[in-house]
Amino acid sequence: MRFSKKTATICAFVLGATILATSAFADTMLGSGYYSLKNSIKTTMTKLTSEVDNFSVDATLSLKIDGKVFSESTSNTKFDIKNKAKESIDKDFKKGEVRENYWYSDENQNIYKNFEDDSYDVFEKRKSNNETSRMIENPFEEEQVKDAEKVLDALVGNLQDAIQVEESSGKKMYVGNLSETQIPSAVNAISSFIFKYNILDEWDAKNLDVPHPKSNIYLMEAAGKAIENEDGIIESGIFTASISAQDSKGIEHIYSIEFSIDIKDVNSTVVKAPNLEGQKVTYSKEGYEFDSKYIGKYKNDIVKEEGNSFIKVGERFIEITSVKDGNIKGKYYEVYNEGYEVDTVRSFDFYSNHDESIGFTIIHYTDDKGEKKRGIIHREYLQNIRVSFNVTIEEDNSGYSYSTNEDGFDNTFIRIFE
Amino acid sequence: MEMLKAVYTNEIFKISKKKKITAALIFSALSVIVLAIVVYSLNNFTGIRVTGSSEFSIMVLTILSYSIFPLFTTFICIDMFAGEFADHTIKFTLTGPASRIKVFLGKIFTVATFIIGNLVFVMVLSVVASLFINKNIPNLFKIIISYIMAFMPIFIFSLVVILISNITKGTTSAFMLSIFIFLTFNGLGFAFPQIKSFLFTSTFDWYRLILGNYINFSKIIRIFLILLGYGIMLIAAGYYLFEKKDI
Repeated sequence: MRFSKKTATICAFVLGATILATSAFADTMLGSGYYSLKNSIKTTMTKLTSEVDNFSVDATLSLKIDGKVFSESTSNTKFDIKNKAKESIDKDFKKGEVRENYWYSDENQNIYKNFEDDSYDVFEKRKSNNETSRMIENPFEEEQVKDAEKVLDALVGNLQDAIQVEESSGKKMYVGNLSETQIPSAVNAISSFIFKYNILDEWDAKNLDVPHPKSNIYLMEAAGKAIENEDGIIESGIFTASISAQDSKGIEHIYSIEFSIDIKDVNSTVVKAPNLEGQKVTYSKEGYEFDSKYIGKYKNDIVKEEGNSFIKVGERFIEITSVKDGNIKGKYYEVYNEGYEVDTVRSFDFYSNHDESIGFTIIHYTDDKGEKKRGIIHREYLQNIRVSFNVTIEEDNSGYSYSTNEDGFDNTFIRIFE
Repeated sequence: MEMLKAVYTNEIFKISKKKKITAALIFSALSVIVLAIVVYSLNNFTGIRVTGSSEFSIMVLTILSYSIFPLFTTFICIDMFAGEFADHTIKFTLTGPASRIKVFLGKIFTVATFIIGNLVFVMVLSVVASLFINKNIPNLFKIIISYIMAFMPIFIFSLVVILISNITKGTTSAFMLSIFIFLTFNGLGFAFPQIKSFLFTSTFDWYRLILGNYINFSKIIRIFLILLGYGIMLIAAGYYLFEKKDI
């Protein structure tokens, strides 16, 4: 039996398409260690931020040179998502010294411990405006992170398969190990650059008394391991990377960074405020930028340039008449010297509502044209204030920015002591 | 077989006369030299060693796999198919004693030879260059395997170009369409990573799979099969169109 040319061609085409489709399909289904690890990290974050009630995290970051630790920081943090409480103990080891930090926070207060004299500082919180906000945000829900993920996927390329997955008794272990040849040149160059100029620059190296990486810097190895438990939460992870470099004398050193994290006691962590009985405690209220000591008069000069000299033409005054629970009332007015009078001498009252913003104080006033305007008032140095009128404020959760359109206005007002 | 060999020799002779071959070699050599200078001066002025000795050849391979190799392969393929149809020189070949399948295969072997030649040229040059950058001896075994593996996806791309040149009428449209396909496939792989396995362009750096301490053999076999599937399919489709094409 002889096939016609056409049949043979079609058969070959179908055969090729079948091989392609089945193996590509199998490849997609099997996925890569990289993708399952990424999914596992996402699941962990989703569960920790919105499903569980509480958990603890232990993390350690250590930097070694030629196998010897020269800097290490550990932190043990307990999260109580349900009651919005958090407690953290940090230890920093640097230049042979250990420094400790203790910190507790819940909805009503923040407590810090001073390790020098074992005293505590308690800051009472003012009611936050956004009660509904979660204690920890899931970073993977942010747009920026989603885009960064795509870029990372592309960069990783075929290295995705360098991550192995092993399963045993319900737990999954991810292991990855990149050697020198595998690390893409761009990744190597960028990380070496960051290491030399940002992580351990000449000044830092001198300060820490360690050899400064000067030449022949390259990423030697990067390795990582993570274990996912039965609930799909990554319970432990460890990551190490080593960089080889020569110092100014040409001696080779190996700088390594090691990061490990353990997530434990899910739903069995108890976060309790420290017992302050019998301890030296300083109480203060958080968030009131102004109190009654700011009641008083402030001024600055209105100055003009004439010829090649400055001439004082008048004064601007701010009087703060009352401060109650952070709410300010006061007035602003200008006084011009004889011979320098202007058409519109500004004078108005202003007030602030303390709850309007967390980060700063917004003042409201009606300007000379009868328009309602906003301004901003800040403390400056100790006794002075800084005021901007006619501002546009942009505010979001993490901060604010404002712009003012008053030309030739001096913002700093000096306290007048009489 | 004799006939196929004759067609092949004839085709090799034809492309060896082309200026594009010289251009491809000059550009490849220039790239290697420029990269070597960049790497060397980066290490001298900033102290950052971008690549070690074996990595230099791999870095060159990575960069050229996405630029010079596919570009000049496209030129050669278009010249051999769309070009010859456009200026009617294909007549001399097709009216000869060789059957169309033999002409088609002869041309494909020629393209493969060109790709291999270009790869070998760059490999030798980059290994020599890497000796100047670093004093240590590069890992030749890994480099050779990497270059062999890099051949496959580029060859698949050349088959795509051949298929396109058998569809389009002119050389310009064939060229534009080939570049378009190359960019689209790369873009698709970037935008929809879930369909990556179906795109041959995502295998352009598959030799990285053998560079590590842990070698994922099943993945290598899967990719090999994907490329093989592409190869059979494209040769069959390309031949079908070539057979039907009027002189």
